[in-house]
Amino acid sequence: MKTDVAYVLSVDKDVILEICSGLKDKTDKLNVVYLGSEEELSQLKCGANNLYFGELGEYIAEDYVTAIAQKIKGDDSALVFGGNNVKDRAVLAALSALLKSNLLTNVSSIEKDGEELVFSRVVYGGLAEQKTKFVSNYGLVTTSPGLFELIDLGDNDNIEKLEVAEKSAIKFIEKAEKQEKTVNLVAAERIVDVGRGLSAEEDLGLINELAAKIDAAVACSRPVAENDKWLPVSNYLGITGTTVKPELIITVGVSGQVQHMGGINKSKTIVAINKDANAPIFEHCDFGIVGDLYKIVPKLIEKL
Amino acid sequence: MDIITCCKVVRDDELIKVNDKQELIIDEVPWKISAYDLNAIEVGKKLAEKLEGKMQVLTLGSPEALNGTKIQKDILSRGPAELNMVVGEGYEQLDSISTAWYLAQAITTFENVDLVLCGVGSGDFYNQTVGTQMGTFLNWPNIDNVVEIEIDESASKAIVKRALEDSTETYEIPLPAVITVSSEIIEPSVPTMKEIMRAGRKPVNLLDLNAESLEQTTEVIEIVVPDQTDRRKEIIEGDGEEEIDQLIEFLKKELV
Repeated sequence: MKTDVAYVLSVDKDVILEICSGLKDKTDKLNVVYLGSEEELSQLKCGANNLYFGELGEYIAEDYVTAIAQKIKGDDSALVFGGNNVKDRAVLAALSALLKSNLLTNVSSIEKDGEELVFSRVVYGGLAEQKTKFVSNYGLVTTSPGLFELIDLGDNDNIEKLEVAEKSAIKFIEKAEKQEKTVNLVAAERIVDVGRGLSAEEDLGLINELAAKIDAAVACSRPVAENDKWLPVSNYLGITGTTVKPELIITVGVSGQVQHMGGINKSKTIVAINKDANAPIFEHCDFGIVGDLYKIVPKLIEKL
Repeated sequence: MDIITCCKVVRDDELIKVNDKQELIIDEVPWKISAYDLNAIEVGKKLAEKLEGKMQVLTLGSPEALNGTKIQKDILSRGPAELNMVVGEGYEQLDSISTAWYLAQAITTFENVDLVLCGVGSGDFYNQTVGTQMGTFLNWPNIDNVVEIEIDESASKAIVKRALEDSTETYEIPLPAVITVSSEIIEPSVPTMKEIMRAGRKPVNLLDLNAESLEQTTEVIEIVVPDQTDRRKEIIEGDGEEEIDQLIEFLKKELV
């Protein structure tokens, strides 16, 4: 796989700036595809040879897929990068089918092995890492957030507006902002992580109180978000959810299944509160207390 | 209304162990229906009930994964009228683009299809792309991460809500289409005794695709188990004053 040409595609300008930072001086030709609003364009100083811009509003991201594929096919070989958000992933997945080349999603590290690039991604619910290389002319990748450090990139040589070549059959109707407050768990230094040991939604008050006391963000395990719907889906930790790396995480009533641990095992210190002495979390914590969270948490709020 | 739900049979990741050479012990691990596909099957079942249609399951995998009657019955007890299988050696290890390629060809062998459903990602590799890739190969409209589906009575279009990171978008999508559902869309139900009994009598069809294979575009170099962080594992038992004080002491040091 040659890496002479790279495309960086996203609906999110911050994703573009991050990936372009990571690719600077590592590719002979850097092309950027930004799908978004024209107002943001001036902030996209990504040092690209070509910045292709597809305006969203009248059109949706999917409408540009055919036009983007045509651009990419103009190069004999290319690596195509995007963010691991829902829209980037879908656009890259469609491109991957048009280019008949695989897409590796949520790539967490890229290493060079001689002339080849090796992409790692987490598999089997967080248990293992799969290292993969492309053996084709085109390769597509979405990177996990925060993979690259931001640097100054400078101006783009050329900016070109993309025309829609083939409109998608799906029609956008409306957009609703999520009511819930999103918390930036990835950047949080302290997290209180609540699991199914909590008996009722109103007991979240206790968790919030503890979190406020120690200036921590609140996160949870998947069932608490998806089944109980006590917290937003964006708050659940795990390989299929959010991966965090705080200084301190206090898990409360979390059993510690592989999938969840995959999201928190980069934490510096893990504290576990769980009444089940056999819960797997006790194999993966720094300090564990086998006991009733309803007795323990109020005392923590009182004494910390 | 003819619905096909795609489903993958995977190794039960909760039961995969690591040996002392940091290698995965995977060969003897039992198979199960990939967790997120249970949500997709449930959606298919509910839509078929509501619209008086028929839902079938399509799966692709190795003989080892699919040839057992236990897994076949497990799938069939969850609502599909029939189970359709594309079986090939090592198929559960295929990359997502090849998986989508074969599934798309399998879909074209059905006489009538209005809707193809997929789960958000497979429990083993979780690449989250097969639905979109399959839809693109079929040249059918497709959309992913859907949390709500409404289908009109003539089964000509669907109105779907798609969850993004900070918003929810509504789209109209003409049928036939490929819709990938988020696992938050519905909770899978537990099969009843009656459903389990009936499962054994439902048809299991082996699809012979005669498909051209897609040229391999990725090569897996290795699967490694990352080094585990060494944890202190200071465990205390009890929730009396004394134990809680020990916890508080520990936390106070961490919170400096």
